[in-house]
Amino acid sequence: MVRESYRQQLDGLIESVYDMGQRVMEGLKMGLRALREHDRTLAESLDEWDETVDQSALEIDKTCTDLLALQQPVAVDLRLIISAFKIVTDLERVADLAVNVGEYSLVSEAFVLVPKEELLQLGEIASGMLSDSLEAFRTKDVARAKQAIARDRVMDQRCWDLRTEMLTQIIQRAKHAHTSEQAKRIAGNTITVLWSIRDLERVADHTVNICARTIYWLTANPEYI
Amino acid sequence: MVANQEEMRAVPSPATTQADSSILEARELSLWYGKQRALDRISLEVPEHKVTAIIGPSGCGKSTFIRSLNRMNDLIPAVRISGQVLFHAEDVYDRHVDPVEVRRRIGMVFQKPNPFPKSIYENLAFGLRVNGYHTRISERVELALRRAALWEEVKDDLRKKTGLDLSGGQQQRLCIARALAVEPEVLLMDEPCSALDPIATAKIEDLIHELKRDYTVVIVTHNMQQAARVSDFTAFFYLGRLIEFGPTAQIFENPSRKETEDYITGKFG
Repeated sequence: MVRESYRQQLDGLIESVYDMGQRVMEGLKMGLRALREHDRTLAESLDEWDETVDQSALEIDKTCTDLLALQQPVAVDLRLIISAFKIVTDLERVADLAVNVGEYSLVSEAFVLVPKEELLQLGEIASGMLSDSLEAFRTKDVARAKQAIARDRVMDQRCWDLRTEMLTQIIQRAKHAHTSEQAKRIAGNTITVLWSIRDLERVADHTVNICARTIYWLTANPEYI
Repeated sequence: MVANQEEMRAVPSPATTQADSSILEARELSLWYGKQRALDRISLEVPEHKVTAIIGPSGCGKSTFIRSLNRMNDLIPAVRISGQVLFHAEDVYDRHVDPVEVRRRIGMVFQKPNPFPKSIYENLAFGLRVNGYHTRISERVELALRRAALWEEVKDDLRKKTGLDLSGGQQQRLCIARALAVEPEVLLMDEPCSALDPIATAKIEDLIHELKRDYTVVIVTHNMQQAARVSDFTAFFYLGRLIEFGPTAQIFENPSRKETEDYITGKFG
């Protein structure tokens, strides 16, 4: 089939998803920087940034809807659109998590429980996986997508280790809490750190999803949908 | 692909696309074949440099409607028309208007390719001469064939092959080239792909997409998917009436009339 304008629309969809992914990546790095530098202004700026990401998601959803309704895509084209719909949702959620990471920086005392550097390393792994997943999508690289998926095991293990280390510290610190106020503070800090670990782990999970959607698009393997 | 901000309207208000200037407008257009009413007070503005698709079940009046736009129905006995068809704000049915000139400026391509049994070159040159073009004929032939995306396939056989030697899809593009050669402003296409295979259809659809840069296209199609693919605006006809007209994405994603939704979702027709 020739249908040149249709092909251009599909190529445009790939670019739009990739561009949205790049913006989400920038936001995630902003969130991590806010955490590292305890930068309140940067953390607060993420809310506005998140709205622009949401807008991109709506626009891409509309493009996908138009393509489905007007072009009757089949086979690889249909799988691309199904994948794009889902990837956009993953990216939108990564953006929400990036906002959360920024917000955790506002509770600076929480990070006495674990070295902040270790948390930032988790962020580095997650953003590296996100970068790889986006490149795999843009370059239609199944092998790269599978490599990124494999890194999730490392991420999960690091998250587990960090949680264990943190809980060990808490138990030790809780022994020395003399007042209920101190105990409450320790509990609050614990929750903040646990959530920050969990959110970075979720970022990695979403990148796994992006890779899986990419593999489904390119191979039609239903296990990856 | 389409201007989403534009409002969709349903009849009986004049169907218009608001933001686009219209080149051709049917105003309260009705048509009878003898006592049988085929079109019932159609009011529709055709936007310039866009593709407008007319869809609807068999017998809904879609072909009758576009044939009315360039007075092709004049050739059918017992046809009676009321209302107006305004082309650049002038009624094409006005007594002073030359129907041959109307058909030159509002060209037409039919369901079945109908090339002349003459050379490819002559298929175009003949119409040019009949319409009073006597200079730069070869240049005009080449330009029209290029615009119809046929030049590269036939340039070495212009005088060797006849129109009938070409494939069905090439014949249809030859007919499009023939219509373009006399420099129309509007191209009416009456189910131009119904006799073609999917590959030839795809080429014509791509061509339609290209043509709207220079021309206004109105296409009648019984193939809803084709209307969705190629058009910017869609009009849904039913029982001789215009039920709904609007940007194609809205018609196919969120039609405002139940009849339209029932038709495009295959509940009738």
